[in-house]
Amino acid sequence: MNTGAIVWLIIFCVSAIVFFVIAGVVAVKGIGDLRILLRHSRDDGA
Amino acid sequence: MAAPRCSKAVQPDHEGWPRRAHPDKLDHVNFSSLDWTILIVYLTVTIAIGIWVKRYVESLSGYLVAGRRIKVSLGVATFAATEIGTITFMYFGELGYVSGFSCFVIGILIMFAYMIVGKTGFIIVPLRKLRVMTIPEFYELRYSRRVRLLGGVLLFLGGVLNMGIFLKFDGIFLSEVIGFGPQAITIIMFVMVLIVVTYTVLGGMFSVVVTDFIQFVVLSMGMLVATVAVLLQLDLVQLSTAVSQQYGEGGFNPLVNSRFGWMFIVWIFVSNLAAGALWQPGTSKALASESPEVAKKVFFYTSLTFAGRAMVPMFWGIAALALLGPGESSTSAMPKLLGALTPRGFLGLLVAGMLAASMSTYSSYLLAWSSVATRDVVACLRRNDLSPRTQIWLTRSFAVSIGCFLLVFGLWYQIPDTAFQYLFITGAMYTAGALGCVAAGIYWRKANNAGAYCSLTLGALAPAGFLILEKFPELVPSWLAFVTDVNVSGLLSFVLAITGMVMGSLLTQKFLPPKVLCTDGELQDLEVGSRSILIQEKPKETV
Repeated sequence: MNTGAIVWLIIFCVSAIVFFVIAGVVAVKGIGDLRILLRHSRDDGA
Repeated sequence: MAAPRCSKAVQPDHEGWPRRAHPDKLDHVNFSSLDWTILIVYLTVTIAIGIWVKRYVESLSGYLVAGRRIKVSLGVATFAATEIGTITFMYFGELGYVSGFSCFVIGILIMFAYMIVGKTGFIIVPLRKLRVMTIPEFYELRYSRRVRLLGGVLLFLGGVLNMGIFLKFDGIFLSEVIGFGPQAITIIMFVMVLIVVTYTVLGGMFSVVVTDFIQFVVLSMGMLVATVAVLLQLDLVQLSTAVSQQYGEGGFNPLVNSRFGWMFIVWIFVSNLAAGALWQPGTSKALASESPEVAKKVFFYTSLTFAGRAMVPMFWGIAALALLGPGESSTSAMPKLLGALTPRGFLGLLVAGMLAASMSTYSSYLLAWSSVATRDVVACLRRNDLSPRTQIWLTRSFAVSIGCFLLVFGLWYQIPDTAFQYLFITGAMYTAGALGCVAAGIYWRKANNAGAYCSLTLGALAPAGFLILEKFPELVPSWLAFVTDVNVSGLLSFVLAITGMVMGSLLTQKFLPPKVLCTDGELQDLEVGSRSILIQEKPKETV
């Protein structure tokens, strides 16, 4: 395989893993943030 | 150059073919009843939630910036979802198909540009401290109401033109993946714009944030499904061979690829630095954050996803080159491949993910541009201030009008070169001048009204010249031919904008002394329209 392809494929793998890991973390923690956002809005009389 | 050798997966009559992978079947409808069920359930739930959230909108700041209560994780989800639309997959996929691995450099450039903004708080932190809702509001604070009007008009024009091709590309993507064919593009475009306009108009930023979160989760799953489906069918050696045969060294090295080179790299980096700090749909996430510190964290963590956001669809595009060959339309090759490779049931999830991506982008963009039109154009043209109720009503009306424009423009306009370059050149119409105005306004005491006018006007000149002149290349004199090179025009817009700001300000310092806001540590009252705001800055810092 071309050396350039190997380098780019490694960078691609790292980038894709970082993307999906952050997506997973944000999906879990974001639910809590969402609850707080909507609860505060309701408490404020909205 | 010889066509690359196709994978065994796309050769006719091969027994190991997945259900839809046969080229002869690519024109058929790919959706099963399970796929339709997933899609309909997803759409129903999203629309219902988007409309239900309307109950939380009671004020203008609630409508435009969700009451400024966004925390880090929710901010990252909504920012990333805004910056990932089906159009994103389409233009990155197209780049992968037409340039091979060398386009991966764009993902790295975007990641570093946004990372710098997130790490340093460049522009976004001062803007968040000033509690503005749109970027042109800063022009009035730092320069004048007329500069705000000019900035608002350019931002609106650049933004809406930029968004103009979204619907068409989404229509192409969905019609190819589902298997409806080109005749369904118009209907898909109409249905999509109807859904998004409905919940954006009703719920404002609350709907955008809540639905963005759901959409980010769904689109991430869709991306994962598509990537796994491609990897299962792909021989990585064939991927390398296909790129090597089709593009040679240029398929791996962006500096020797005729589409890229140094000028392109510098332009994309500077452009993303400006867009990261000043592109209203993204910046509005910083303005809606709980605090300036939260805004920085949101930008930093989101920047880490941006390399993957670009490289994953680019990889799909390269896979389309390897599996389908170079004879396909560069626009439809990648969606055609995904429609062929994704297994039954998962295709519904993939399309739901892509729809999620589009809807989150549309809703944020619609809200951003309609709020700019209301607050920075219409309100600036009136002597009396608009009431918050009227502003919300006007914002909703503009959102509907922009939706109608998207339908007409998407069907009519033929984009020059690649979609990626069109998006960046239309974006540069505004971001180049805005970078000069806002960065100088915050970090340079001598910036004045004349510099702001020069920066905004000159920054828009080169991109506007490109968009007009490339339609009539035979009329362009040879000495002006460089303007029809998208990379030259893009970089030139930033050079002209910064030069305009520096020269315009320095030459008129005596006649137009600059307005310096808040030079000591005291609290100051500043009038922004009818609104009185309080800002506090560190000693000797210029805001």
